[in-house]
Amino acid sequence: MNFDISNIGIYCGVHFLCGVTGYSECMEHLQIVTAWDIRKYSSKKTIPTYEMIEAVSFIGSGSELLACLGIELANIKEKAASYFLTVGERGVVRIWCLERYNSLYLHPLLFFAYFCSTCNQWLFWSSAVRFACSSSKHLM
Amino acid sequence: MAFLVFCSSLCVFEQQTSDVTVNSENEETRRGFTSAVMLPNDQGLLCVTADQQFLFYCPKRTDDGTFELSLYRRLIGYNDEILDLKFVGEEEQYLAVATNLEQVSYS
Repeated sequence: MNFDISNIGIYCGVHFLCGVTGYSECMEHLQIVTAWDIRKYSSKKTIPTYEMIEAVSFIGSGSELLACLGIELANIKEKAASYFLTVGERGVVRIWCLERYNSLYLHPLLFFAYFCSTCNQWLFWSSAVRFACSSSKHLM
Repeated sequence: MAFLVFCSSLCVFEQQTSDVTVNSENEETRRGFTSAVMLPNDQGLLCVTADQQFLFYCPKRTDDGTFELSLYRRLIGYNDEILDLKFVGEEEQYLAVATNLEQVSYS
């Protein structure tokens, strides 16, 4: 699916991760972070953050920070660029896992986007649906 | 009309309290952090605040096994007007700086 998203927000930060096929950017207005595959020129994931994000940074797989978090290095070798942090107007550091499939102890939320032809922009909202596990068979 | 469905990523950690100082007069204009970068060689994380402070964090595990980001250094990048200075501490190893901000800083 191809669509032009250049008019839906102001980019406030971009961060590349060397050695992998992705980078992330944050949109201040929409309070989202988007991870892109720069080889395919396609977005991998859009993450709502509910905060005006000012900066985003990937966390390297060998970082002491991840080790202190209790994240096994063996688990993230196959999923490089899986972890990143964000900071913004709330003044707190948040650490995110890009791949939701490698963890079952937190519940993902389902988000929808709707393109409004009147105002010519994408509108986002979330449902209150929570899932018992991250398996795709529970999405419906 | 087009619909897209997004599944969120997981927030695995969030600081419970902010280390960004709050100025009550300009609270509405405060913007928290403006930048963050991972330091090389496992030196931790550097965050920059809207009032031009540099906050250095290192990852740490508490005694009860929970993860936290420990603030180990704070550099004041902008003092505005310095009104008074005073050496403090038993050996006067610290310097307290009173500015026209609400906080007293020391180094």
